[in-house]
Amino acid sequence: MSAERILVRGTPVQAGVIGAYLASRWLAAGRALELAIDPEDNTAAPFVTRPSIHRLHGEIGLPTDQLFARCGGSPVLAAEAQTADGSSVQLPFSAFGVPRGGLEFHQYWLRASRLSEQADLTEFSLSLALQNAAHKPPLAQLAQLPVEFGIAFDRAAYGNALLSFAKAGGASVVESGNEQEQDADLVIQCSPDAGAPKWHGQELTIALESDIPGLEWHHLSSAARRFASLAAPLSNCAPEQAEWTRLAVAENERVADMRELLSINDPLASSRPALQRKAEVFVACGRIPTEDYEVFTPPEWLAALWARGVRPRRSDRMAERLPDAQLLDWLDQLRGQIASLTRQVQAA
Amino acid sequence: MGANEGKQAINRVVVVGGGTAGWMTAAGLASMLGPTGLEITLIESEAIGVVGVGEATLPHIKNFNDTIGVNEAEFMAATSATFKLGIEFVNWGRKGDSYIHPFGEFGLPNAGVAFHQYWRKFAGQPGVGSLDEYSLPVIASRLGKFQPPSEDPRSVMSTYRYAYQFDALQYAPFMRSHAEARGVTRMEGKVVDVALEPESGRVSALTMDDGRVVEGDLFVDCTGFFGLLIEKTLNAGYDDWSEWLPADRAVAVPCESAGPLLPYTRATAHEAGWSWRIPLQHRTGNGHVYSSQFLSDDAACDTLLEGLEGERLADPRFLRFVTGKRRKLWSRNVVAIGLSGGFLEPLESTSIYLIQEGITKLLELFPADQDCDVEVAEYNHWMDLQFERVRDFLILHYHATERDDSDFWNHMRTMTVPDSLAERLELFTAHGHVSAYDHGLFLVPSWVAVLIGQRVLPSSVDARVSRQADAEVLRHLAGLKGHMEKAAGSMEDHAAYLARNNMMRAAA
Ligand SMILES: Cc1cc2nc3c(=O)[nH]c(=O)nc-3n(C[C@H](O)[C@H](O)[C@H](O)COP(=O)(O)OP(=O)(O)OC[C@H]3O[C@@H](n4cnc5c(N)ncnc54)[C@H](O)[C@@H]3O)c2cc1C
Repeated sequence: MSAERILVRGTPVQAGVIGAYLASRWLAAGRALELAIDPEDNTAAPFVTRPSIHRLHGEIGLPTDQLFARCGGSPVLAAEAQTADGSSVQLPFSAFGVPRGGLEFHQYWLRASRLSEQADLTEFSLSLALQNAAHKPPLAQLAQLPVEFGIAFDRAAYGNALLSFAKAGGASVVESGNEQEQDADLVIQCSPDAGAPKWHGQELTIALESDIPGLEWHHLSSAARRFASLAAPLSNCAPEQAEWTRLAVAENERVADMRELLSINDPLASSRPALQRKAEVFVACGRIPTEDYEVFTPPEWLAALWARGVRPRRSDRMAERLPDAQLLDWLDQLRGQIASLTRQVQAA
Repeated sequence: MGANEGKQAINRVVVVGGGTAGWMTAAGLASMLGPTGLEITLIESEAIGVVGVGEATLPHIKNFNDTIGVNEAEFMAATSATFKLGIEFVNWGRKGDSYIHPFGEFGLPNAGVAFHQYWRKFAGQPGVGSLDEYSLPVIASRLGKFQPPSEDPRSVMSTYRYAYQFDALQYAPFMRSHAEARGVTRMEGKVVDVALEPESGRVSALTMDDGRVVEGDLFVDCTGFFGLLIEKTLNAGYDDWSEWLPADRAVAVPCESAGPLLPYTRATAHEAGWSWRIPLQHRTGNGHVYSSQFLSDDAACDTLLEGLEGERLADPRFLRFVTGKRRKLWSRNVVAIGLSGGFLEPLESTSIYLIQEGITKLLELFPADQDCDVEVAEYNHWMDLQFERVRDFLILHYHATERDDSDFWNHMRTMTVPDSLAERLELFTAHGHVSAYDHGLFLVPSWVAVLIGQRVLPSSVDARVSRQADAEVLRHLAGLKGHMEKAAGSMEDHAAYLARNNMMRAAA
């Protein structure tokens, strides 16, 4: 078998994510992985990961709790993004309230709010309550709660930890400028200015976006995982290249939908068909249709639509199965439970 | 004040047709929306009757039954049902071939690499055997065994799901009793006239042959191939897919059961189509689906009768259809569910699944009033996608073949397939990767089952396979095969399971 060599270019955390994954899932005898690090990472913001971090760490055997402790970790239960009017919106990773009888909670909320005045929908999110609490619960406790969470790391510390992991897995790490570009069979470029992601010929470009916390992580981890899941000889992989690009572009379209929702003045006037579909169906009946290869979860879409003032005309008829008094009681109880859980977690 | 005040609220649903689609729809709506005051009326005509076929299902039907509160043992006994772990395909890739498309996984993934990749690398080596030998539902099927899957994801017994094979003529009445118990009103008779509102063009009332007039707000057309409301009245149009799925006829006949009660359906390819064999408790359902362009009715009937395993129980019945779907499954205030909405032919038993999908989407989008263009568009968008994805999977069965023994197979093998399918084939044949989607019926193991079962072998494998030493992989394969065999062997005999759990229909 002829040797194959991949060169990854990026900042420590960018090359670290790709490098750690490929070292664990792709590197083997006859293959080389070189990480060319651009040490000039001037980003001060922490490196925010989404809940998929737990799966990724599990897949490659990275100890999340140790990294959490060593790399200044802090749990993230919702991503905070900016909207057109300059305000910010929190996009929670877990559902509002709890679903009942196969129906999402917000449908019950919509109905209840027609019966009597209700606290805002966002008050029924355990994710948001915990995210906004003065102290975040420890990891072990969070894992017991019905919430999804990512982790915000100190960028440099996490990047270096991942680079060490990649190195231990057989990757070589060099400072940018010292790499051997000529004989790389594939150059993976982590680029914030790339426009669209693409794998073509000997170059795979990951188009990094970071305007919504967690996106940079998503693009990197999903690029690496997808590349590995389409593993083929690098000299003979045209169908895999096309598939990688198709999926990455599809995901980027979904991100562009979210960006437009947050930034456009009238979300219902969007010219993006998938966003228009989401907004229209949400207004019509409170459902949020999804596309293939979504990046954001339904609660994130719900929070974004809500924050932009998009409201359903009506609630789902299935919510009417619950008698009025029972519905109102249930909502009260839920709020109480969220508040007491948040208090307990704070006290612990 | 309700948001729909002043607009015509939707509180009366009229379902026209009392076949599988009609009674499933009525039962689904009554269970989920009956308690909200929705009035549901179903009109059916015994004189017209039902299509009377459609006996093999997919695992999703269990969710439907569970959601509307059907008791499994009662349902099994009432419909003479058997369990189904998959479909055996005979003579598809080549004459003499046989494989089972199971409702479950092949092997277990290893280090993120799909099992079929390891199998492919060593296929043909002594002791490795066929891919089928690494699927618990396939082994159990061949042994005539059944046991419900385990809920423990660590157990190999959790690697499959199951569906049912039931008597079509007993299923609709079972759903009827369920629906009527939840308040559905049944009206017997034939709809002879349909009144439209002059301005909106929406259906406002139906006139029956005895002169009764039935008014409604929303109408569900379950009139089967008649398409009484959706097509004959509203002219929704039809996307004809016979270019890719040219079967347009079927001849069906039941016969006496012979041999043990098998927990799977068989689909045997013939000169210009294929025949089904569906084992029920009290008889076996058989039918031959074919293209009239390539085969005469007489020849099709002869092939069917020659293949019967038991004594014939009725005269052969011929059916005609055009594969495809209604251009708009929901038009104005009419939703077409069942054969009135489209038919992709019975291979892979997808029709009842599509009925279920139609009901679920209708429930999700159930409109408050007649101002519901968005809900209508969303319904049509979703159902179009479901039909198209099923279509591609069905085309694959005909196209992925080496058969060159008839004009029919030469045509199917060499035809141009939709781009979506061509791209999938190209990806798979390169290194065995399967393109996955989030919204569609058939998942990766199904594509792998049919592709490999029909000899579409990737020219190479996932590059990660080589990360594990050959000897280690071979040991793993042998261990897994043994483990699966043992697990399947420990399952109960299918017929014994039905009897022990009071699922057998009492003799008449
Ligand atoms: C050959 C063949 C094999 C099949 N095999 C399978 C299979 O294995 N698995 C699967 O999932 N699906 C299968 N199907 C599809 C399956 O049979 C249908 O999806 C299912 O039976 C639903 O049919 P239906 O209720 O839409 O139509 P029908 O059963 O035809 O019912 C139509 C109803 O409408 C009524 N009606 C019609 N016109 C009027 C009128 N003017 N007034 C009043 N009532 C009226 C009729 O009386 C009847 O009650 C098969 C179909 C065919 C043709």
